[in-house]
This record gives sequence, structure tokens and C-alpha cells, in this order.
Amino acid sequence: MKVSIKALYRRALAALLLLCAVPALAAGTINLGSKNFTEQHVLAELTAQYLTAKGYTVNQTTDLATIIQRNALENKQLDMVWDYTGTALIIYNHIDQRMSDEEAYQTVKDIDAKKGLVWLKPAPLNNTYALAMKRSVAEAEGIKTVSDLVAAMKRAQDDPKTKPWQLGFDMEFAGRPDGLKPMQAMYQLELARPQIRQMDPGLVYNAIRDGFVQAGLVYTTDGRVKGFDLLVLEDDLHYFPSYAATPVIRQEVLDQNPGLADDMNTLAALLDNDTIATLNAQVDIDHRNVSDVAATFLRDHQLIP
Amino acid sequence: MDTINDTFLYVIHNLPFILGLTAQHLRLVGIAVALAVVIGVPLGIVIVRFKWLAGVVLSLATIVLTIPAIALFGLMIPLFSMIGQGIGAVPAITAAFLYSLLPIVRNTHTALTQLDAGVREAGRGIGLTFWQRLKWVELPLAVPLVFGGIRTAVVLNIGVMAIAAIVGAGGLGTLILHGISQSDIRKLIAGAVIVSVLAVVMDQVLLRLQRVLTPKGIR
Amino acid sequence: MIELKNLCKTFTQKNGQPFKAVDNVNLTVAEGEICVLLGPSGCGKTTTMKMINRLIDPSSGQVLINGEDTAGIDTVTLRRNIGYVIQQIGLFPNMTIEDNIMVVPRMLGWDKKKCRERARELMGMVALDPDRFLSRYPREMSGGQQQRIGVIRALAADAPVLLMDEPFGAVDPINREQIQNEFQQMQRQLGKTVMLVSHDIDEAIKLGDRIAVFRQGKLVQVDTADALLAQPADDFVASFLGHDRTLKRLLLVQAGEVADMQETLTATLDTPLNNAFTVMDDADLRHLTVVDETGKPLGYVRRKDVRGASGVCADKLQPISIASAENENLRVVLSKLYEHNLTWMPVIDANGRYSGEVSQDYIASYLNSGRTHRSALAA
Repeated sequence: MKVSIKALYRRALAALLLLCAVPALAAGTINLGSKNFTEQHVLAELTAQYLTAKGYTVNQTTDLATIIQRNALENKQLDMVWDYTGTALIIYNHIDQRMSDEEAYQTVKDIDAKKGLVWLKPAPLNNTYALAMKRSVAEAEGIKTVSDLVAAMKRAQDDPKTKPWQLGFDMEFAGRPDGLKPMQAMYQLELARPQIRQMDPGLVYNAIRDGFVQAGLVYTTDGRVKGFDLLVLEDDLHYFPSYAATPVIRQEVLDQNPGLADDMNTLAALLDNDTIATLNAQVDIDHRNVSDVAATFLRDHQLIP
Repeated sequence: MDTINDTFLYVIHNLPFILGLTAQHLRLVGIAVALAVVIGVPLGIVIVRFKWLAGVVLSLATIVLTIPAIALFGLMIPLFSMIGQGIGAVPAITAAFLYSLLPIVRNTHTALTQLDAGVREAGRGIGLTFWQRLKWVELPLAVPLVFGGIRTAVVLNIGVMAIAAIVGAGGLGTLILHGISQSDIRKLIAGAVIVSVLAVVMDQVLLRLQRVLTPKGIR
Repeated sequence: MIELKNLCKTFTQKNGQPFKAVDNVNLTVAEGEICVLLGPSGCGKTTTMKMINRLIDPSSGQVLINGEDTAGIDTVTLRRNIGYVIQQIGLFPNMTIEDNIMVVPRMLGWDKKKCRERARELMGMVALDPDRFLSRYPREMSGGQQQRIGVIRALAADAPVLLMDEPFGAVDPINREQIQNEFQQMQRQLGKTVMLVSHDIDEAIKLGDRIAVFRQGKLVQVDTADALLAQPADDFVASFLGHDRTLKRLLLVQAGEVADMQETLTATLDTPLNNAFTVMDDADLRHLTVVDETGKPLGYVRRKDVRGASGVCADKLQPISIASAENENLRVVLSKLYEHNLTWMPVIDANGRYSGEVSQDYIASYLNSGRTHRSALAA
């Protein structure tokens, strides 16, 4: 009974939405999704311009939260995204086992293959999490690693004259069962609630730069790490897994577009950590348009005319 | 001062892009509110006729309005994922539609129930049917209040729709999200200001329209 | 004709107890008659009336209009054939006056031209200029003007039956008097069968051919105004009518009616005084009115001045200080008599001619007799 009502409901909804439904997939059309941070914008824009020059029609949907993007890909509203091995492992598949980069990649590739999703070759780009501080503060306190940070925070805590240090995290990381809490456990980092400042991922950089927090969670390839002169602390206990950026495509789309895998491999091969950090910085620091940044890069590499 | 200048220059240099987002924004709000009018006004009428329904419908609509916008958009995603529409315009329009229902249903209901008792009794007493009273007397008299509800819904949803970008529906929220994720204050300011201006302008446009549509005898 | 047969309405109260709002009412309103339903608030008079056009459904009993049981007529058709006027007026603010008046005729399918003519005709009846007012909106008119429109809206489709629920209650006293007069005038021409709910005794006396007094859902007494005032059925009716009910009877008789009952005896300026004395002596009068050749009163002569005097009436003429118009009621006349400390006054017809007199003696004996107005006049 329950099932039939649900089915009825789906049918009614589907009928209701027929009018505004997205046009059906046609050969050569790629619905490309991207998440809500700059690197994703850059990757998506690079892909879109590159593929457009190759004769594909690309529809972009930007600014999706991770889970939303993944849902849309599984529901076939999206055809291709750039995703990260660590994200797939931990968030989508809830695997918190420590693995090598290669193992991690192979694991998610195998799991997703069953869902009709293909992980192409990863770019040499590991956009993992890290804790970062203002370089001046870190040098003054002699902090180089996360363990150093924890020690410095304990000192501040014990000193009645200084205020307890505050750390900035994006809301997703702070709330995730495999995010902040296990990291605290591994590093024995004790934080009172007011010491944890949650904010949009993009705001953490500004918060560190402007001294609202003493340290915060950043992406290693973010342009603002360089741009704001932040010091990435060494993950000395190896808490953060690898996050290799990889194009993920639905099998059907790949079948309909035989050249697509090669094209994407060509593009991915060019994108290493330094390159993407530079491009990210052009957007976040120099405030150039994502499309300009992508076009310049692609032209410099003769990928578009 | 530099920031304002930069923002201005940014808007000028990206005018087609921004206008596109604005049009997209308005289209989303427009479709949502139009649907809410088409459903909400008749619903408001029906609950005048069937009083026991009024409490239920108005409470439900009120509860919907108390759900934070970001949560409501979030709730739409798993729901519409079932039919493969988890991202894009559909969840955004549905959320805004739900927000629009309360002001429109409530104002329609209020307009019809708070109608001068003499007018209603005279209408019945001289032999107008329910529908005739509705069409010739009660709805024309309800125009200002119903339109007030529509204006509330539009202004509310121009704001709410800024969140639609997180479900991939686009609109001016895109500008705001980029402003945050790219530490680009120009985009933030531009997005916020355009959303506010849009709300004020649309409110005025609808107010004019309301004046035109209000019967002369009660203007 | 409206007939109510064993009409009952029972409501269920909040505590679940049934409450008889209207309890077995039997009443017939003859064609062309105005019947006023009178009583304190909550007595069931409005409920009774609303069961006629079925704004309230009867619990039991019958309502017949011109012999037809209304239970067999659908409410919309029924209501379109019954004029309805309410205290709140209830004009539709979004429509012009013309549209307001013509709502029912249009529903009945009258053509535009006929509607337009009818609207103008009706405006004439209530002395409102159609060119000025038909295109206005209700809120652009005074309360009194709006109520006039309320009345003619009810008359628009020429329904034979008119229900009026405290129709003049919201109008200020001066306007009310005037609208009541206009309504009486119209009724004389149109001869509608009217049921009018009121809690205002003076209005009931003024407009009602018969008055039905209600108390706690029951009909207590139905009678003409004069009979009601002269012989209230019980203490409730008596106290509701007021302790000055005897004086209220004076409202029912016009000076002209009293004058009509007497032989009109007059003298002229050149009538010899001994002739005048003979006339007074024969008719047992203490004074005789002197008129000119057109019949207009010039003064009067007193019997004591004339007795044994010689000369003509002009020699002993006394001036007339005040006179009554024919259409003034006895209450007004009596008030004037006391005001001028007089025992009688002449009655003047519409043309200014003498048509008889009213005296304190006459008024006292009328009130004393306990006879009702018509029978008193007939005697």
C-alpha cells in the first residue's frame, strides 16, 4: 500500500513537472555541474570552454553543494562533474579507512562503476584539506605543524592573560562525522564551543587574514593561501586523505560521445596543484572573471583557438 | 569609496551577465507567484465556503512560512530527486510557491471573511448565488487585499530566491554565492543591492497595477 | 399575500440545549398591507422574517406567498421575487448606483434599455436626480441617500412582496422621518405586501397597517396600531408600548379627519350678529369662525360677545392666533393647543380654507372612549 501511494505520488509529480522538465539528453550535449567554490568554478569553466571548442554543447549548473551535485549526477540531471577521491570515499561511501592515493582512487572508481559512473584519469591535483594560519603569527609562535598548533593553543589556554584561540571551519566540515571530531581526537585538540567558528568555506580565508580566527580549514590549492600569505600547517599525523580532482562522467554519456574520455584526459593532465592554485588566485585575489581566466589558460596551451 | 566604484565598474563590465541573472531571478519568482495565485486564490475561496478547512490550510501555510528558506530549499532536493529534478528551477519554484501560498491564501480568506456583513447579506437576500456574489461583488472588493498578498509574496520571494542558487536554479543568488566563495566583495554588494532594488521596484509596479485593478467605487 | 403557518425555528445553543427562536407563529399579511413585526431584540422577529426569503431555513411550518408554498421554490428564484431592504443598506461599493439598482432586473434578463428607464423611474420616486446620481458610487452619497437607493433596489424588479429589516434604523432622525414619508407615499401608489421589522414603536405606529408584537419567539398580539395602543393584550405589550401609549394614539388621527366629522359652520364679516348667535345656539357652540368669500378664515366671534348684540360679525371679530393643517396628527395639535394656551383651533385644508376645528374636549373624549380610531371616527 505504502509503495503504491509513493508510486502514485511520483507519477503525479512527474506529470506536473512535464511542462518545465529539462530537455532530454541529446548526443553531444553535456550537462556539467560544479560545486560552490572557486576551484570548481575554474575546473567547470575550463571544461566547458574546452569541450565547446571541440563541438560539444555544454550546459553548466554552478554553485551546487557537494551532496546536491552528487544527487543530481546519480539522478541523471547532470552528466559530468569534477569530483575528489577523498570526498567520494568519505562522504558518499562512508569509508574512513586510511588508504594510499592509488587505493582510494581505485576504490571509488569500482564502487561508482556499479552505478554507471565512470572516474576518468585523475588530474595531478590534490586539493586536500589543511589547517592554515597567518604566516606572521605562525612564525612568531614557531608553528609549522598541526601538532605545533595544538601545543600553542594549550599554552594560550593556560595563560590567563590571552584569550583562547579560535579556529574557523566551513559548516560542512564542522558538522560531518568524519570531519572535525575525529581530527580533534587524533590531534588531541580540545575546543570549547565558542572556539569553533563556522562559516562559508570562502570566508575562512578572510577570517584568518583579518585575525578573526587564529587558524582555519583551507583547501590546499586555493588561490588565497598564496594571496593572503597564509601558512599551510603540515598534517604531521596524516589525518586528511587525498583529494585527487577527477572528472566523473555517466557511462551512457561516455558511450554516446566516444572521444570525450580522451579529451578530458588531455585537459586533466595539465592541471597540477601549482597550476590550479595560480588560476584560483587569479579569480580570488585578482578578481578576474572565471571565464577570462579559463580562456587565457586554454589559449596558452593551445586547447582552444 | 573604492569598493563602491569597483562594484559599479564590475556591474558595468558584466552587464549582460548580470541582466541575465536578474531576468532568471524574476522568471523564477514570477512563475512561483503566478502558480501561487492560480492555486492560492481559489484555495482562499474554498476555505471561506468550508470553514473547517480554513484552520487546517492556514496553519499549514503558516508552518511552511516558518521553515527557514535554506531548509525548505534543502527539503525540496530529496523530494524532487525521486523524479530526477533535484536541482534546477523545479525545486526552487516549488519552494517559493509554498512560501507564496500563505500571504495569498490568507489575504484572500481575510478579504472575503471580513467583507461588510451588510454587503454579504444584501447579496444573498436579493438572490445572488454564491458564485455571482463572488464574481460581481466579493472578488472585486477583495482586489486590494489579495493584491497586497501577491505583493508580499513577490517581495518575500525576490529575497528568498537569492538562495535558489544553491540548488542550481541560478538567479542573482549566484552573484552572492560567488562573492562569498571568491572573497569578492563587488559581487556580494552587486548581488545584494540588485536584489533589494528589484524588490522595491516590483513592489511599486504591482502597487500601480493594484490601483488600476481596484474597482473605482472603493479606490 | 404572505401566510405563515405554524412556523418554528429551533437553534442549538453552545451548551447543546435547543433554543426556540421562533415558536409556532401564525400570521397573514394581506396583499397591499404593511405589517410591522415589533418587539425587543432577540424576540424572533428578524428570524421570522428571514425564514420568508429563507436566509434562515424554518425548522417546521410553512411559508406561503400568494398561496404558494415557498418550500418548493429554490432559494435564488424565491429571493429574486422578494424585495429585501436591510438596516446596513448593503449597497455594493464596487458598483455604480445604477448597477446596484439593476442587479436583480439584469439577472432576470431585462434588456439594457428597459433597465435604464426603470432606474430613472425609481430615482424619481425617491426624489433623487438620475442624471446626478446614477453614475455615482455608494460612498459618494449620504447615508440617507444610500438608504433610498436600498429601498428602490428592492423595488427594481417590481416584486410583489417586500421584506424590510429595520430599514430606516441607520438613518438620522430627521432623514428617517422624511424617508418614512416618502416610503408611505410610494406604498400608496405601489400597494406592495410589506413585512417590516422594527423595534421602534413610533415607526410601527406610523407605517404599520397592522402590528405584530413578538415576545420570546411567540406572537403575542396582532392588531392595528390604535387597537394595540387602546387594548394591549397583556402587561408585556402594554409596557413595551410604553406608559405614554395613550398619547401615542393621538399620532394615528389627523386633524382633518376630526374636522371631517363635523358639519362645517361659518359666518362671514357681514353676517348679522343675531344670526351668528342663532347658529351657535342651535349647534351648542361657544364660538363661530368667520371666513371670507373663498372660505379662508378671518377670525371668529364668541357666543358671549354676540349674545344680544347688534351689528355684524366684523364688529366683534377676534383674531385667530394659530391653526392646524389637515395632515397634522392630534399629538401635534394638542401640543400647539397647550403651547398657546387654547382650548380649540381651526383646521385649514391644503388650499387654506377652513374645514372645521379640533378641541381639547374632542381629544379627551376620543382617548377616554377606548374605542379605536376607525370606530371612533365612524361614530
